[in-house]
Amino acid sequence: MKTAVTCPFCSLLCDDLSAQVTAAGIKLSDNACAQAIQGFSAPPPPTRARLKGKPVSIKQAAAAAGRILRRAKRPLIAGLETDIDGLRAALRLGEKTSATLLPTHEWNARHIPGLLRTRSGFMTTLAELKNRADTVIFVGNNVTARHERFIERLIKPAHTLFLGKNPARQLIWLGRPSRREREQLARPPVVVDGKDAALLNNLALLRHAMLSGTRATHTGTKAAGNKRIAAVAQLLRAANYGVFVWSAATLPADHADLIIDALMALVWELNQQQRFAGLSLDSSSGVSYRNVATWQTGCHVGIRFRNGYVSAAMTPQASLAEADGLLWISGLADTPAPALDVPKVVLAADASRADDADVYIPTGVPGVDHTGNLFRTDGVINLPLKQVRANRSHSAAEVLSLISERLT
Amino acid sequence: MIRLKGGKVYDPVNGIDGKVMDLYLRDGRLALPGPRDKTRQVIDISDRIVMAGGIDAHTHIGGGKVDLAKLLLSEDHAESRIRKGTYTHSGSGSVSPSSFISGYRYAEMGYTSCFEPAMLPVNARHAHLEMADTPMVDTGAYVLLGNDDFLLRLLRRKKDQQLVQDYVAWSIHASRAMGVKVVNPGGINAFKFNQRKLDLDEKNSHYELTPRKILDALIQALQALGVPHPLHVHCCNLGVPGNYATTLDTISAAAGLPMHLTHVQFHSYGKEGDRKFSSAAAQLAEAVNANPNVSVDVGQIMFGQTVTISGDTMTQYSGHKHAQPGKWACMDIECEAGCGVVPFRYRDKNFVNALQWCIGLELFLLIDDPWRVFLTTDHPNGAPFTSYPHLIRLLMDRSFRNDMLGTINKAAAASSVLSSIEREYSLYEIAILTRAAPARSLGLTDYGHLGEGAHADIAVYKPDRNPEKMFAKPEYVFKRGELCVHNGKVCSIPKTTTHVVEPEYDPGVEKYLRTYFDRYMTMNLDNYKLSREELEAYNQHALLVHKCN
Repeated sequence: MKTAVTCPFCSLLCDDLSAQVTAAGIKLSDNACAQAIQGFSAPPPPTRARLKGKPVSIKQAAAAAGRILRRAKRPLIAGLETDIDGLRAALRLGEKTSATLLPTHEWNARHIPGLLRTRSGFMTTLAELKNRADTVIFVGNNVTARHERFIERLIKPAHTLFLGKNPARQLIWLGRPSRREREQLARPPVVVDGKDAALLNNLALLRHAMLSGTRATHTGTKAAGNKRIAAVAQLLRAANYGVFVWSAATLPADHADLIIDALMALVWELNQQQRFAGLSLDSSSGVSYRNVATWQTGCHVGIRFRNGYVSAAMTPQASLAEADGLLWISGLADTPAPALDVPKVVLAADASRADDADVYIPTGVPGVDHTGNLFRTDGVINLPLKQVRANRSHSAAEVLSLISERLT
Repeated sequence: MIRLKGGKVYDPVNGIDGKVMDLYLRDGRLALPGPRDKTRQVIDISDRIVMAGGIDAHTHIGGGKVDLAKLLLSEDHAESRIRKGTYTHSGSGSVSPSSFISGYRYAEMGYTSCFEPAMLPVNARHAHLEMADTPMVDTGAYVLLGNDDFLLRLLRRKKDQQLVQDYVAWSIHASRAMGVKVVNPGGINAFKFNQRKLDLDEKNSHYELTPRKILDALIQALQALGVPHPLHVHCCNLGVPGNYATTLDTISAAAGLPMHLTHVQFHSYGKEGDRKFSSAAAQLAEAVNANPNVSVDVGQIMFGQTVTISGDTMTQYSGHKHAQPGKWACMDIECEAGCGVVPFRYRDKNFVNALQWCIGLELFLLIDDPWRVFLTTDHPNGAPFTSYPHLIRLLMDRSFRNDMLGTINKAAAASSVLSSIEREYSLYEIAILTRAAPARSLGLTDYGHLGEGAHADIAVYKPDRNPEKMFAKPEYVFKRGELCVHNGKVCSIPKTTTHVVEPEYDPGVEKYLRTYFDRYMTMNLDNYKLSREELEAYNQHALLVHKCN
């Protein structure tokens, strides 16, 4: 029997898929992307937990995990690649054990928390982009690498509210589109290519061109580049509704924040006369963490519970360096735990992720092994996830609650 | 059975004005003692003031924009940290506190129910999840309609009003709401087409619809559906000098049908005087007094740091230049609406801010019928809800009010009639503004009063000559009969519920919606709908469904 499913493996949370459970595994409908196929085809989690490599019951493993957290002076609950219920349970456990919480996306993108706190912005959501954006500017290389159906579902839909059927949008890349992205497009986009280092510079030039309307006066290669920027500025001036799309994960890691900050400033300036907005492609567990942590604690980046108080944690690097006990939660992206030489508990579907863990507790994947709930990349919409295959695995939320209950 | 002995009871629903009497609590409700009842506990509350638990009919406590506010106010969250207690979680924030803290603070002031006024249907799951993490108080929400492309398309195509009505009811079900709010009708939508202003009779450039038309369709739909709370209206032109004329026109647009005007303080501005900014509270109050179909909440401002959060992207974007600290966030949302979040500091020596403060108080004091005025600060837009006790003192104590008036911008004080208004609210009237009137407006028949059968949500205050002190720290608060606050501190975490209405409608409307979703939206219609079961699983309790008329 086919059932409608919501795919949890990227933050588009496509819910136009159907799945059929067969003896050979889960078979997805033809509109599934490679990432979905890979995610749904992973084997179910093992049934037994492991303590120092030896099989034990889940309850025994939870008690051992609790001991590790209790003994640590600076416990770290990290990864946090789980659904909303899992995040709520992790926050409760973090408060009980005076832990620091650190989601994966934070140190991968090397966000500078200070910038997040001072930035203004004008953002948009997927349906606004799909129906309204006559101009879309992709910023970075291979922006949709982890969101494979972005172009199919949102750039090339059959119907839109305001752009007619099969809309012809003005597509611009500040950076390099991938081969897949090029193949998905009906006509070649306008591309202002350049090495990673040029991206920030190009944005500054574009901002200058938009604001001043002046033409570049350089000669040679620079002049050619600036001419392209001037052409892009022209296109932006003609836009009714323009959207800048980026993914922090595919921006140059050492200055992703500066690029995003420059983008937000540009969007702000453009809105004084026209309508523009930004859309960031993040991980759904990262967006979910930001929302849940913000509403429950008022802090939205790494969080530290200490002496009964909650506050923003130190930098990711400092939090990792001071940790003397680690609980790693990997449910969706299967990111490996950081190589810290401290007692380690791993919650994951894939046991091979936990070879060096003191305690391994198998957890199901939300949206495959159990029901759940995740925020989409735009941060406003959260979608319910279904259980697709029958199995007895526990959710991260259940395991984290078991650990909480067994704390001594 | 618990006996509360000898309290002085203020219960306007039942006409009780300071009568000394005993109250009996059985199975979470107020009861009359029967011959078989055994009194398990007697609490002597002689000389204490007793009211039903407070009900806030307009407070932004759940959903995406509330979280953006916390994100932007990171300084406040870093400075104002709250330690976890025996029963309570840790948290932070004094302006838009984290969810657990909001629940504790409300209960510590004797409030037991709160309603989020601007829940986007597409953000309903988020809003309810956040409210499920707001303990101590029952919650509910009004779903935001009137800028959504689905409705505007129906109206442009002059579809049958019956279809509009079915869609409104469907949206209430799909988002598990208690009512409907419209924000800047059609204006949020128009801003997406780069319109920067929209008057009541001005047309949205794409749909060629006026806000008046949208208001009319929604008011009629709610009337026909029998939803107890009338359309909750955030008028056009919020904050614009001279906007009182729009507000008066909006009252006449209701044509005698029930309508609730929200945060009217922000919509009662004239443009007289040297600074082209003046109070039009008297004109507004006169119109409200003359139109018994209209109720209001005030949205009083207080001086200090706060954050303005609204679905009104058009207004919030134009106000972003006044952001203090200088950061803000706006968002266009999913062909439904939008949001804008702008931190702001109201200053007592600033002419405009000082006059805003006067205008709010003038409205409270010039509108005659307390049953049609709810005490709000439009938390956190005018001020955080924790300023309610101070606001109550301003209403109850004329000499204090005039002392405060003496400290604000002199030109603003001189241009206000406030000093000449003698009215002082009584405890009975405060009980109307903060409990009885919102309960009646929302159709919460078992709340907001202390009669037999009502839920035992009760606040017991130690009388004090200073009402601010008294209302800030009740001696006892009961939620459904459970003692949850003692001497202003949380002493247990009671069970709470979510209030909803479920008006009847023709499910045939879903046929139109399914086509619309399949073509234009980015999620499946079935996932958009928040089922009763799903919400009950978050909350771990059953929803409370209120009757439609």
